[in-house]
Amino acid sequence: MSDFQIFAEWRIRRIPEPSREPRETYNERVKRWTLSSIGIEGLAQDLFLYLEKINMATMDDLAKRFEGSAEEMQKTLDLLYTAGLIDKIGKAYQIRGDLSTSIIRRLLPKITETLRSIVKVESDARSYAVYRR
Amino acid sequence: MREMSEEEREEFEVLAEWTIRRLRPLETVSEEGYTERAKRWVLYSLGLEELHQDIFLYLEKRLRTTTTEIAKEFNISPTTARKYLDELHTVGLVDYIGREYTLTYESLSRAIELMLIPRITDTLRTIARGASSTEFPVPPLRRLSVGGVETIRFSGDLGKKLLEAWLRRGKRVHIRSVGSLRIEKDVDPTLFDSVVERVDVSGSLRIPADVYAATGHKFNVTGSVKVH
Repeated sequence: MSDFQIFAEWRIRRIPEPSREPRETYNERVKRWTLSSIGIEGLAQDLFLYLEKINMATMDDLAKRFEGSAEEMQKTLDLLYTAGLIDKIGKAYQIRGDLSTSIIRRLLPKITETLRSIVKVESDARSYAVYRR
Repeated sequence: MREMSEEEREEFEVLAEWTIRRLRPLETVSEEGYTERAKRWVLYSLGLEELHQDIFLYLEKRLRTTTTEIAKEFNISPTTARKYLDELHTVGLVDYIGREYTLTYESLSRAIELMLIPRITDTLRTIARGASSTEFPVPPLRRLSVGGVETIRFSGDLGKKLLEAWLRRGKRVHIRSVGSLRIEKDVDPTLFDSVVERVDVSGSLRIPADVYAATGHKFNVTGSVKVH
C-alpha cells in the first residue's frame, strides 16, 4: 500500500474487438467493449447504458432502479464523471455525448494533461538533484 | 436491436492495461531522499506498485539486468520477475534484447513522453474508432483504402460537420485536394487530428491558426497557405 493519495485513476486496456455475430446484439457489445477498454465495468457499464436510454436521472432514480445504496451510486457516477462520459447539472446526471467523442474530446486530454504534469514533477526532481550536487 | 441477456455478455481478454493516477502533489522538496521519493511518486502515478518501483530503481542503478538476476535480488521466482519486467515494458520504461533488460530512456520523463503518451493516445483513438462503429459494419465504400486510411478527393470548404460524420463512421482519411481547400473556423484541432491522417493540396490552403499549429506536419501544399 502506497502512502501517496490518489485523487483520480483511469485504466486503459487494449482488448480485441468483439465478434460481429450475433448481429442483433452487436451494438451493445461494441459499447460494452468500449467501456471495458476505458476501465468501466459492471454496474458502471449498466448505469451508463441506462442513462443513455433515458437521457437524464437523479442519483435517487438510479439507486431505486439498480437497487443500490446512495454511496455505491455516488462512487459509480464519480467514476463515469472522471472518465468524461457524464455531466452533472444540479441534481441530474446526463450523458455528455456519444462515446467516441467523449473519449477523444474529454478523456484523452485529461489523461495526456495528467501524464504531462507527471513528466514535469520528474524533470523538476532531476534538476533539483543536479542542483544539490 | 434487442437487449443482451446476462449470459450473452462477453468476457473480454485484456491484452495490455495501463493505469494512470492523479496523486496529491509532493510537498516537501527539501526533505532527505526527495529525488527517490519523486521517482516513486511518478512510478505510482503510472500504476506501478512498490515491487515494480524497486525493480525499476535497481535497473536504473545497474543499467542492465536479466530475469534471473532480478529473481535472485528480490527473492521472487523468475516467472514473477518476468511478469514485473513485462509490466514495466508495457508502460514503456523498460526494453529488452534477448534475455537482457535495459531502461528505454535514461530519464523517466523522456520514456513517458516518447513511449507512454503515444501508446495511450493511439489506444484511446483506436477505442474511439471502435466506439463510433456501433452500427453493424456495412460493406466498405468504393474508395481507395490503404492500411485502414481512406484516400478521399475533396476540394472546397471542410467543416466540423463532415469531420464528425467521418469520426462517427470510424474513418481516418487522407485528403487529396486539387484546387483550393478551406478548413472552416469551427473545426477543432483535436477532432481534425483524430480523423485526418494526411492532406495533399495542389493549390491554396486556408486554415485556422490553431488547427495548423497542431497538425501542420500533416500538410503537403504546393500553393499558398493562409491562416485565418
